[in-house]
Amino acid sequence: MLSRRGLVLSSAAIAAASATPAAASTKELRFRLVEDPEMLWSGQSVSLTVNTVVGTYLVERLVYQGTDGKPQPWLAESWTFSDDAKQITFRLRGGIKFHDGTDCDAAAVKFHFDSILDPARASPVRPIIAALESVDALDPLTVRFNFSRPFAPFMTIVAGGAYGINSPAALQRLGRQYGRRPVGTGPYRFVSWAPGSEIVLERNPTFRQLRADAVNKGAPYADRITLSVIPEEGVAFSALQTRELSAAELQTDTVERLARDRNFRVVVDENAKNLSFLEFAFRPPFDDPRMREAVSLALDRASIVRAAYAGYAVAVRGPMSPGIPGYDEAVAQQFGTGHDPARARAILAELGWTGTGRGPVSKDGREARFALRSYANPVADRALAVIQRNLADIGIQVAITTSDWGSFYPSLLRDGWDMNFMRWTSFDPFVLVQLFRHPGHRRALPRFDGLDEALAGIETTLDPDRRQVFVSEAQKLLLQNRAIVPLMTNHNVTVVQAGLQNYVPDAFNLVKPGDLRMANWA
Amino acid sequence: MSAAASLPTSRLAWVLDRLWHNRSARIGGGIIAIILLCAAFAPWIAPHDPMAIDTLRRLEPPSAEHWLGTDEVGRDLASRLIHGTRYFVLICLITTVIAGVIGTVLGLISGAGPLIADAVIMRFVDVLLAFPTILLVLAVIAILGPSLTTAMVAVGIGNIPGYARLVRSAALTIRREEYVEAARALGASELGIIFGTVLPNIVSPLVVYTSYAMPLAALAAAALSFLGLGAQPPAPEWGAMLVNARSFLFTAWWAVAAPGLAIFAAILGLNLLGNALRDVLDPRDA
Repeated sequence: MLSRRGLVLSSAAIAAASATPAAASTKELRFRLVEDPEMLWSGQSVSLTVNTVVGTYLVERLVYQGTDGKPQPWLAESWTFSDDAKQITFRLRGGIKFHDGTDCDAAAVKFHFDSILDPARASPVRPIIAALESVDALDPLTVRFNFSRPFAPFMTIVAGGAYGINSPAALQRLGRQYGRRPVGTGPYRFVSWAPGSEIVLERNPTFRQLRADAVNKGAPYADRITLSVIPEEGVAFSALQTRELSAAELQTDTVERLARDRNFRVVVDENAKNLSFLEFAFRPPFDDPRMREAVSLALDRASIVRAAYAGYAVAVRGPMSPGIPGYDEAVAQQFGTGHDPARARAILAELGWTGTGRGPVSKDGREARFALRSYANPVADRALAVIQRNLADIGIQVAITTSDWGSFYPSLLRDGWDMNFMRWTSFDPFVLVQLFRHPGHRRALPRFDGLDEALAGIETTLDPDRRQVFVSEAQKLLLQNRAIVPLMTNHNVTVVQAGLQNYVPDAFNLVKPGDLRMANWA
Repeated sequence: MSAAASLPTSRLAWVLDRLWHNRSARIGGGIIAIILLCAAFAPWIAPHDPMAIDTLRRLEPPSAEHWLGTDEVGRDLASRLIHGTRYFVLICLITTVIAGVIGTVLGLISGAGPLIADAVIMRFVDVLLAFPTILLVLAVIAILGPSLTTAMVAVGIGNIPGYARLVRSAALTIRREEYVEAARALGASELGIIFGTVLPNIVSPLVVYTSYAMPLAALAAAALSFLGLGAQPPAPEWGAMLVNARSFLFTAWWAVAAPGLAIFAAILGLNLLGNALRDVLDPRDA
């Protein structure tokens, strides 16, 4: 469910009909991959690229998340909760076959989740479903999940690509090689993988689409899908223009030029579920909430949105992405802050920070010079340029250092920083628990009265209405304490050839590839 | 050679006269002179505040108000280029001073000092040379952390071996000259001979080598900024400007062209001037 920085581990995008002669007989779509996946084994990677490729084309899940945030039937046709909310029992649909012809039944579901729970495999997705203790296959079409405590986000989590069901027979046959030759029940079957170059998939002719939100209920329209590994933005741009790709998820920097071209269409996922925000190390003077409030008031979020994403984003006042079901706009408006540099300067003055109007303000001989860390990324750089200027305007100088995510994120566990620029993607309010339960994901968060209790409620309350109370309360407490400075949620932007039909991202920003077709196909 | 190499006034006038009649020197010197003027008077020349952000006017093409257009957050590109000359000059000077001073001292001691010093210093230089320069620079940055200061120090250190070997070679030749023997016979100390007699006589090759090493050092520093390991935001350093603008190559070419051409012109200027200096000062051509 939870994935770091969608833009670094960006997903597959859609492609178009090939203009090659072979396309006359083969209906082919070509997609872009920003990076080569490390493997194609759902349940054994937290990489968004891995789980997007596997989850879009190769495997199916028990449920998918509807646009209203509620779970919808997929491989499972129904589910029930036990009275103590520690067990969820799924009823599977019958007659579902893996690509290798074996049955996708309760035993297969149990096998998949057992492989995640198996300590010997050390699955990286295991900590995300820490409350899951065991899975029982009650009969061929009934499977029960047993939890150590009520675990509310589970229905959202299992809708993610990492929880798509793999073929037990193929796994047992291939062993560790399974990650190079996956077998699922999805609309496309794995054909070949040239590392660093492309992944080729072919239509699953016996595929039955079980999702209610799909257009095509039968086998996919396209005979073949090729996923081309194209890390460079400029190359993807050119490939779109030459119709080698008929669609690609692009950075917003590149989108504008194609957006004006009638041969292309821009698909914007306005339900994006990421949030960029500033965090604090909570060391003096940022142990004072009013100091943190001054920072929040100084920032011109509209300007940050324009600079970073050319407007393909929305300024956010709340501590959770507006795309995540449960985001409380009323709380955000009441307890969040807008752009008010005059008020920010007044707060600094009240706190004893004074200056001459040029250079940083100072207090007790200490100048307001602080360290801001960020992951290295062109989009982040532009946001940071505005943030740096906004803070300079109120007399706070920040020295920005950026490094790749692998260096940046662990560095936050050490001293030497005052603020960091962070971005997370999630699909459930559970993200608040993961990030802000004391002592926080970077072990810097102080204990705020009532916050951990509200977060516990988010984790364990299954009733949606009662859970929403906790979600709103947690958002309110985070804002009241100025625990973070929310900035923006950016929209995923995909440029598609004008003739590509049914390109509609779902709640997880995944398309249904069985629906995709070119307008000129017979 | 000794009289000429120490560049007395008459020699300096002769060198300047030859440079003035050298086309490369005039073009290169002109470019460098413009850069130096911009660096000296940047706040008065720049039409806008180089740090002023206006995201409503981001990536605007060149116009009367913004001569070179605006960058990805609406800053005036011309103003940032003009202020960027200060970073360019600073990088050239600091890296050259670090490499030149340390390399020259090591080379002099090695070439004109005791044999044991020669052995120790040259093995140290060999170790430095064993690393590709970029790897050496990255190692220094990994230890000290990314910043413009670190980048300058790293590039400076990376250039030390070149200076050391050049100076050692020149010193080894000069120490056998009769005027050095004469100084020694007259009771001059070894230190006095090294810095008072040998050093003034290797100025010419040092100047020529510096003219070759300086543009490479400037280019390396720009490359480090491009990699995010040099100047940090919002410094209007040309390499950093280039990396910030690179994703707009297709949509706002001017944002890439401005810092790119500035680096190109500055390096060209240094190279042309360096070639001219070599033509004028190289003893083989003199």
